[in-house]
Amino acid sequence: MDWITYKVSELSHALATALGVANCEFSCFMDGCRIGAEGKMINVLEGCNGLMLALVYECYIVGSGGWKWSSLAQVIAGIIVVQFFNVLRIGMLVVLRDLGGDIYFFFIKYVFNVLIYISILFLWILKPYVNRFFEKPNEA
Amino acid sequence: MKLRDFGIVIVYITLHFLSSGPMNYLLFINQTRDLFDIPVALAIGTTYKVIIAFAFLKIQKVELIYILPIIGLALITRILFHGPFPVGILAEWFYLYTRKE
Repeated sequence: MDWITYKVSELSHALATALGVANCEFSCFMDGCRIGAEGKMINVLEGCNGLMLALVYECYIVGSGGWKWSSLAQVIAGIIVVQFFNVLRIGMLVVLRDLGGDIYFFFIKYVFNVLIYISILFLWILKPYVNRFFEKPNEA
Repeated sequence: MKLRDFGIVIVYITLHFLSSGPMNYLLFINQTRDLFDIPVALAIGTTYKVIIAFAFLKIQKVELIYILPIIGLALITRILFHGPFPVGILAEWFYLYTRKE
């Protein structure tokens, strides 16, 4: 298991604990980490670490804007935003799993995925404004 | 971005995820995590996702000469790098969209 998946799982566990999941356990194995209360654990695999999502986001930023300081700033900001959403998503899923019911499956399959994709689109929409902000000092 | 286009993006993503729920259910009842263990469902699911992506790009008035490479690249992103298919489609569509604007 890679370091990013471990860190995402660790932060998600801390968030779930802070959100009030009682007896929230955290254990990692070769194939991923398990977070949550006994009998209601969720499995965080390598595909859940948000890295591929961040990479596609970065490909667009660098591919359309080229290697510039503004691109670098957007890449770093994008990684932070994607990972923030990812930790929030997994932490909330642990809470929903703990609460029980079918709402967990609705959130894991639809709500969080749509939100994270829309947030990436929103970051792309902001791209020209960020570029303008970085280009201003050069023009003066 | 126009509100209409943003609405179409949300509809596209939602329609895309409508197939993910049944796929996950099929993985669960077959007690596997590998989609290649359920090849028929994988073929149907992929075809559905490609059709949805095609319809989305067509509605957004992207020319056919661009649609096929866009879907091809997004499939490569998905199959080879396990990346998110709709984000691949959106990235390429958004690049054309901003150029047009």
